Amino acid sequence: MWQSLQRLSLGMFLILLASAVLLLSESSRPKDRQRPPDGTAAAPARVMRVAMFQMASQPILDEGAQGVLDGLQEAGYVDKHKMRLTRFNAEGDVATGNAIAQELVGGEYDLIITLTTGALQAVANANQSRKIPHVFGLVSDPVKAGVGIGTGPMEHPDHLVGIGTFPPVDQALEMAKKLNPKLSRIGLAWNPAEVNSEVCTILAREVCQKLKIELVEANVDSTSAVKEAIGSLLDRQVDALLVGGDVTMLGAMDVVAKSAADARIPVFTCMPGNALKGALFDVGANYYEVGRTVGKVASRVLNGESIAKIPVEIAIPPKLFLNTLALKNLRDSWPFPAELIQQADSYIDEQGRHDKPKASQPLSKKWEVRILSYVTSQDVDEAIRGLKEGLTKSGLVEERDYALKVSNAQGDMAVLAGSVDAAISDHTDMILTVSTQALQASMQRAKDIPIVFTMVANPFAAGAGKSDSEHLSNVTGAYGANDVQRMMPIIRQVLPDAQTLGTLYVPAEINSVYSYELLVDAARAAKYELKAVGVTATNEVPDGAQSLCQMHLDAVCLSNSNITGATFPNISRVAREAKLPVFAFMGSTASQGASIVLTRDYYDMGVDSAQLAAKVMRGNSVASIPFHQSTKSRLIINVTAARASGLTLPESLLKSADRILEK
Amino acid sequence: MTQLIGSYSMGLILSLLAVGVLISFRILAFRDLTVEGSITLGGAVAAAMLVSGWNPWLATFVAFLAGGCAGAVTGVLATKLKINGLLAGILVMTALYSVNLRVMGRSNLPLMNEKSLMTFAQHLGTAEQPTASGGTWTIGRWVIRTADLRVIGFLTVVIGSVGAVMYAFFQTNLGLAMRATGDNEQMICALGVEVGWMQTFGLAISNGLVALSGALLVQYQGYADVQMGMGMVVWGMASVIIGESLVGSRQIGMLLIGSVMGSVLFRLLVANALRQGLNPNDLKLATALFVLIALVGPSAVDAASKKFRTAVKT
Repeated sequence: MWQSLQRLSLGMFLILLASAVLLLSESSRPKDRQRPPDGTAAAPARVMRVAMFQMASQPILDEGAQGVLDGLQEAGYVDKHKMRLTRFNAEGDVATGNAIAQELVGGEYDLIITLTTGALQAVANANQSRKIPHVFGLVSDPVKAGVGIGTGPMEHPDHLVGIGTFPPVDQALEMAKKLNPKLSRIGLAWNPAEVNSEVCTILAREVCQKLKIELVEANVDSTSAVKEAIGSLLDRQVDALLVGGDVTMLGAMDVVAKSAADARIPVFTCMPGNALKGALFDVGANYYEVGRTVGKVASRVLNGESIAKIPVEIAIPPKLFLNTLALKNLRDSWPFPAELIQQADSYIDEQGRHDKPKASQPLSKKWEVRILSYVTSQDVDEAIRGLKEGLTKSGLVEERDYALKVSNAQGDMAVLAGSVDAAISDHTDMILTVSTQALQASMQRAKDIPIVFTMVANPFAAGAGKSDSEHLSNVTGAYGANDVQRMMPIIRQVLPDAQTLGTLYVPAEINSVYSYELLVDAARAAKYELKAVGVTATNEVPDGAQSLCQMHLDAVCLSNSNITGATFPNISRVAREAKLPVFAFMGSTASQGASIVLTRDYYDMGVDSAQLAAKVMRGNSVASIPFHQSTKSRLIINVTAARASGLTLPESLLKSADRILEK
Repeated sequence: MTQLIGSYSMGLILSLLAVGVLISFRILAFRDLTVEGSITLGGAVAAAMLVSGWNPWLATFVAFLAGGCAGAVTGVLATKLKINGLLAGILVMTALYSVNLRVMGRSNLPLMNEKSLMTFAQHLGTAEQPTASGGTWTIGRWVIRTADLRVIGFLTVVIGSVGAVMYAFFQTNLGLAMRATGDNEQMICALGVEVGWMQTFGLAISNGLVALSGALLVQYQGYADVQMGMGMVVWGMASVIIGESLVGSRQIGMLLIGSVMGSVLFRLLVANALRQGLNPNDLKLATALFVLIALVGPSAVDAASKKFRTAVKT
């Protein structure tokens, strides 16, 4: 007996230890506050503790979560600023989900936000006695979740409110029938494990019966099964495919669209965003939008509004998205009536452009496209992503209309030249360049291949042309310089006493000189004294930065160059030691210690360039396409760096920021 | 405190899963993946019956039987049809997915307003109608809900009696034969025991316990979901192995207790990880590390103490 107990002692000890740790960490928390009885989340003056809980990681759920964050931000609630946000994710594990629910309910949170039905149920169950304010979202049918929500908008517990997302399957089906009255068989593949999808399917069955359409169903259990399921539907001679609010199917939308296009039938969905992926139309609210609405409801609760007085919304106004491109090659005729196009919130015309109906210019050949970049950085990656997505957004289809290769010179000029040569010898039809260097290398070597540039501050200084419309006959693209004009008043706002600014620049880089000159002009106009130190190579930067910081500056305002971009961590460290705030114009610098960054949106610039490229592919002559000047810029504020360097950040500035960083 | 009690309750409920895995994995030496399906099956059956107004005890018992049937099917596939055991488990687990959807009629069944064993346990021994906030004790900083305590007491009794029954069972001739089947198949075959039926029976009991765990789980958490079995077999095995390395013995009683302790400890560790505000993406990594430490830790401690003793002696 004694021996047995001895054997168990280790286990007992560990269990007691774990319990003690759990209990003690609880006792170090603030004492239970008295909550107002009507489910309001206490006074909004202090920092609110908010928990966000999702049951699993799936792209669509993550989109929804992002929406919530953005919705909260729009109301001024940013993590560590007016609220402290803790995120939980059960990674699909139910037992962990329950543990999380317990932690949330026992954890002194002012508000719990749950995404997905499972998370709603777990928290609602654990929260029955504590009644902590709870906002839910990404739930298809809150009534069926059995958490005490009734059919009326005000029939909900006093501490629980949220947004239900009932996908408008009925509208989608009715519209399909209207477009093609001969429609008699619709195929629907769905995952029975998803509540959301199930709700859709049940409704689809009813509506189809009413519309005298036969609904042919197939089940999928994972993304990998989608292709086969679609195949089985096509074998059963369906006239169209419907994709409901099914996470599995939406994840495999490309496969669905391709299979349907091969069979010459259309796909339509009740989740927006899929028309871009080849669906004929979609009508509904996407998860990001739903998330944003949830975030707004959450902010109302945080502002002290009583939950009992907030209605549960069951649907978000649906958005209609039409895709004329998908009409091509269809077996049956599905014409869009003019009034429908009028109604549409978004529309892709035959040319692949949004919202501008125009005559069709089909691609005559498949284009070999090469993306060339000089260095790798966050901004370059953004620009490349913009290029890729811009091509798709223009209605071109990869592998059908163009084949894409990406090459990167890794900062080596010789390699860059070699890449251009390689592109020429591969019979590339078009070169897309990212950065000034890539543009220049391409212009010099590829004289008769169309070149479309992006992420260039000044194409004229680079020698691509004299004005927007008067330029080399094979070169066009989108450009945009640092938004120095907008930066000056921001510096004035956060650092009212500043008089002297300093920057490093690289005389050997044409783009750097240009950026520097812009900064000189802007600083002069804003009555700042600007001091500058020139550097010519990476290894000169540490000394250059040191000497710059000893010039009695009030702040560093760093104009762009490749060299200072790559060595920015060093510059940032030197500035921090000298207690100088850093203002910069390159997006990647924000996470590396710059306080306020005003960057061109290189993603948008990439999209703009891609649209010019699409024009070229559709047969417009390059010489006839003027350069496009991007004007959009993004304000990124690194709150921690800003506070460390003694900046005061006014509320209005924080509100106008596109992104706020905390480290 | 709520969370501590929650972890204990969860650990106790899932210890039935651990005991089920112990039987198939350790005693029968059969790698049984049916578990992922049968825990959901248990939950689904219990939930479906509760929703249609059946007695919770009966619903829980039927869930146990259903799990037993699932295990028996795996056993028959593996022993009579000679399908590889791992594959047999996968087949049944896959099939159960559809069965579970059929049983529930949809993918998610809420039980929040149904009478269940947990609501029964919450009222245990009191005449008062439980109110949402009523019935709390305060010890220092910690507030304990008496209803939670009743649930935990109830679970302890249930798990204790199941454990006792299992312990008694493994002392009977049948139980001994079953243990021998896993240890030495040829020997027990020579003694005239039908190995195939013995394995099938063992799997039935194992999955019955797993389904029982599922039935209690849905009543505790207030809803059944068709995806709730995901990853359960791994955590079951982790509990068994943690328990084994904790008690350091292969005596059957010790193994049973070890599984329960392993399961409870595991849930406590997860709760601690959550409490420390871990990045959600790292949670699974942290739990895997716990299992690793639990596996390596005791033997390392043993080795160190032996070294220390020899050092003291010499």
